[in-house]
Amino acid sequence: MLKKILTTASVILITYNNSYAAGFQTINNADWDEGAVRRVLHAFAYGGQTNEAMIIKLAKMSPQAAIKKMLTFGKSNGNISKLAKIDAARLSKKTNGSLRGLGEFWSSDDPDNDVPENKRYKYSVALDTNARPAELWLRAAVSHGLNPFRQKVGLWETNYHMAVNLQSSVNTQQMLTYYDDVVKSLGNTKRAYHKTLTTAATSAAVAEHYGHRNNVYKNDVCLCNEDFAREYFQLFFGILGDEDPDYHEEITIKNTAKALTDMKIEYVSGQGRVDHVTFGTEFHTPGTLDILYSLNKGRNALKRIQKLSQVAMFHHESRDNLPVIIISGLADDNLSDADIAEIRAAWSSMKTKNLLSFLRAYAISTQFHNASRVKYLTSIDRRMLINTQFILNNAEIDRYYLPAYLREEQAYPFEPIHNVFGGQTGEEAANSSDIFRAHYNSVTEKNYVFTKVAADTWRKDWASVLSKKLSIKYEVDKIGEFLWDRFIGDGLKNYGILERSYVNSLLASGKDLAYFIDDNDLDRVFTTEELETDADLISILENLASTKMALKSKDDQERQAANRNVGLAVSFILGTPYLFAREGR
Amino acid sequence: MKRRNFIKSTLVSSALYGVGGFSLFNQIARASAGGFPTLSSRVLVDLMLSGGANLRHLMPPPYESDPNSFGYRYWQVNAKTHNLPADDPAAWEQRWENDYYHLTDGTTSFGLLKEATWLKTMWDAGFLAIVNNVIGSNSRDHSYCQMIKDQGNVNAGRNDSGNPGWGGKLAYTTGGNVLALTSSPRNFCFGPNPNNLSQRSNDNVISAADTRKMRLYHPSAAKEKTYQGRIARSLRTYYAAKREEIASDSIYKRFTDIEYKSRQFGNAIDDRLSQFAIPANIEGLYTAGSSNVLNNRGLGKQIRNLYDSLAFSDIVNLRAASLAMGGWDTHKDQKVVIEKNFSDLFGANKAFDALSQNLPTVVRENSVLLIGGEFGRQLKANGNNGTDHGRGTSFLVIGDSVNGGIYGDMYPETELARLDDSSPDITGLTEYDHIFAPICDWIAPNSGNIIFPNQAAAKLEAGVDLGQLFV
Repeated sequence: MLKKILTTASVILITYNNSYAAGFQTINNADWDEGAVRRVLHAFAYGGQTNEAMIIKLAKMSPQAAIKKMLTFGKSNGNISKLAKIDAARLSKKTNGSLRGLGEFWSSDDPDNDVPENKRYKYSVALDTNARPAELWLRAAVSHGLNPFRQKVGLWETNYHMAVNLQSSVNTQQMLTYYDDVVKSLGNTKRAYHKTLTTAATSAAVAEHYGHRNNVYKNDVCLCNEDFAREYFQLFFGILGDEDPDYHEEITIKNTAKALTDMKIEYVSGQGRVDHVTFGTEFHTPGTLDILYSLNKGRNALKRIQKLSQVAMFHHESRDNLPVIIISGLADDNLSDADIAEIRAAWSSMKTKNLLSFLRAYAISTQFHNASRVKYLTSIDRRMLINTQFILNNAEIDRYYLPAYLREEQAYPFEPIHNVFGGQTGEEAANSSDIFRAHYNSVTEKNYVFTKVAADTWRKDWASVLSKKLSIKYEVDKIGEFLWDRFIGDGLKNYGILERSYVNSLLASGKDLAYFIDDNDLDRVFTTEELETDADLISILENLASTKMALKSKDDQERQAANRNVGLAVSFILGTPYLFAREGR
Repeated sequence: MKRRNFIKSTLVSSALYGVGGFSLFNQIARASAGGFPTLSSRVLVDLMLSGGANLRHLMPPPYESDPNSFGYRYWQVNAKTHNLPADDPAAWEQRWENDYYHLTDGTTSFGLLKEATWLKTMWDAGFLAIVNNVIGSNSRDHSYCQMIKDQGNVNAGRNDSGNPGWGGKLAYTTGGNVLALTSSPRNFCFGPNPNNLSQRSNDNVISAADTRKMRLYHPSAAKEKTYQGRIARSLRTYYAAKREEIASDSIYKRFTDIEYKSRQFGNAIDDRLSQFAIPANIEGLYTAGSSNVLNNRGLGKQIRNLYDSLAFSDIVNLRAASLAMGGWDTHKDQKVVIEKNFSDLFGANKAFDALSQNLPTVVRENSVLLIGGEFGRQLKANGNNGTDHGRGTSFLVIGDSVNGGIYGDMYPETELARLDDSSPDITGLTEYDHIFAPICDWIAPNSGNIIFPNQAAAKLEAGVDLGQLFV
């Protein structure tokens, strides 16, 4: 154990043996059930791409054992994203899992490449092409056999917590490297979190976005801007300088701007600026700088930021704010004072701050699984959830193209709407009737996406993802429950008789309930009360619920019709209010 | 439930929905069929310049040759932000002479960037008020200061983001709605929760990021049995039942509310706008290749949305419209960045010029435009030809009913002594309450004191009387 106490006269650096026990209260084994597993998958992995058997298996483990299998930063995680039987390529074997590596494969002529030949150009990452980080990320996040948790956290880090923007001067190669380096750093599970923040803070993307690549120290004058000097503390660490605003403004920020000098990004003709920083000394501020009540030394900006990040991570404002930023950003829009206190205590209990350990502890905590937890879905969360659950194998990915939807909802990856303050939040999406309208119209007017079930040799095959239990009878009622839990993930809490009646009617007949009952009264409104008490309706609903779907019929047309009915039911489920938020229990 | 009962229940729910919703059917009934409707109320248009705009760049002091004068020192310490040498007074003077209109109110002389043609027209007409030395917070944190400005509450703490905005309070107090014309509603838009006035609610907000797509899809009669029709009908009837059954404290209730509001307003708005072609010079603002396309086409879309909103103001009982424009955080290359922005806003046939050309006089007389950022910039250039965050700033209040002029010392001599400080900025002397409350009073008499109850305690620059802001 190394322990140095740093004051304004000496540097504070406290490093203990790694100890990752965060202090959340873990839920009981009894409460760790299939619903709990689904909640974790929905919060952290867009619902995951696993099957019922795996969910049951994970639910039977202790929460501590299960969460280690579910949340990893590896390039693949078969526990939450399994290859479909027909998937040709094992992406985790074919690539190193980075966006750049995946792009090289998806743009290649490899015989196992699932991407249609005429679309491979979209994934090219060659320097002489127009790389598309968003398209790469969107594909990576829904690809079976990779790791949606890794991509979700990677997006949050680079689009929310430490956001940079392709709409600024950051180029696509810089963005790819930024994302890949941050995720790679997170993937080193023993690496302290402040090192990931250092990786980001010293990246070409950040230096380009904020413009401090031009900062130089010349003739005893700092020709600098202080933009990142401020946001490094505020956004990366949650340090606002509230305790002593004058010191923060006049000393810490000014001197951090001086620390961020001589960070050149070479310009290469025909390619633009390169994706890495060259840390120089000629125009770097010499000597010791008073920053954050510590003395910062270093021969270049990299050395200084490496040291400063260690100090910042243990600053009391960071200890208070950063863990709350993480949890509110990823999982909870309704934190109480008690929740915040527990989050802070858990973070403080980690002698070496480690994001993965923290998230694992939180994901099996009583706080995470408490009914008071609410997370409103961003447009990206919602669209990724839909695609992750609707795409049944990797060959289908190109049939469900997301960029246009995300553009319409102004939630395009790597172009955060609030610039360095991040992309659209869940609260913003939930408060916007524009977003609601765009979504609603996409599942009604444009629901051909869900009802198209055949083309050439391709067939939608929902039977391929049903459990053995469901496959015995293909009973409408059970398949409806399966779909609701797949897309809503609430353990059927909100799957009332109203929802069930609409879904079952669509599954059994392909018609909505009013149409099925009387095609001369198409606008009939059904209430829960009449569905529960009207004898005629009860009888009709019982028949619908017990109908057997022809998902395994030998007749191609019958199978298509059955799969189309699933698509219709999914359209309806996606149009309900329950898609837009997730609760703790 | 049969169709007849459904219609009955929606009428009942609209009556209970709140004052904004209550007036809907009356408003639709008396809406003009063809021409531009008369505003049913005065309207505030609030434009947030996100990032903290340097309005001194728009309105600098006249160049002076005396090295100790304000007009010399300004140009000296800001030469870099004008892409000029820091040691070339002749270049500063040339810039002043060539690129700025020279204006005065009789007491104070100031410059106005020549790209801002429309703004000069407003000044000349007496429709532009410049309020100086305004402050909301001693912080220089974008998000916190934006929250303070949006809430109009200089006492708001960092954790008060769930509090209502002053535009929403105005709408709530006056029984109307705020139109959020941005990609997502700003804090400004949210009114108070009737059950807990310190918390916000979206009851009085209508988001309209694209006013030409306000309708929830519903099939035509011929398409009622298509796949689209089946789901659209299913969801419409499902929501009709759900909104009656869902618990009032359910987190999902906001979505049943949004569905209802979208369905009611959306159809009426779409019907109204089908009678209004988008004027060519407004469409040009966001159309690539047009002669007046803006650098920021998103702003062009918002102006189109604003034009539309005024055209259906009676339907939504419009009290305030919320716009935002980014790109003001000019830490680097200020001249290039900021002058594009000013051109977009105030250039000939650009955003507000194009809009006002298409508004009837009576609409212009009954609307006011408030423009400002969350804070200002430091008094001198940084090392990247930009300026870093400062606290005090200026606001622009524009409208045919505005009592134009300069409110507050535009160039305080006291700044000279602070220019050698490390982070000098404009000293804030007037807090938000004193600007925003008179605007509220103009929109709806006596609403200012309700929305800004702390006005009496708020700071106000000596000699400034913002009670005279309107004619």
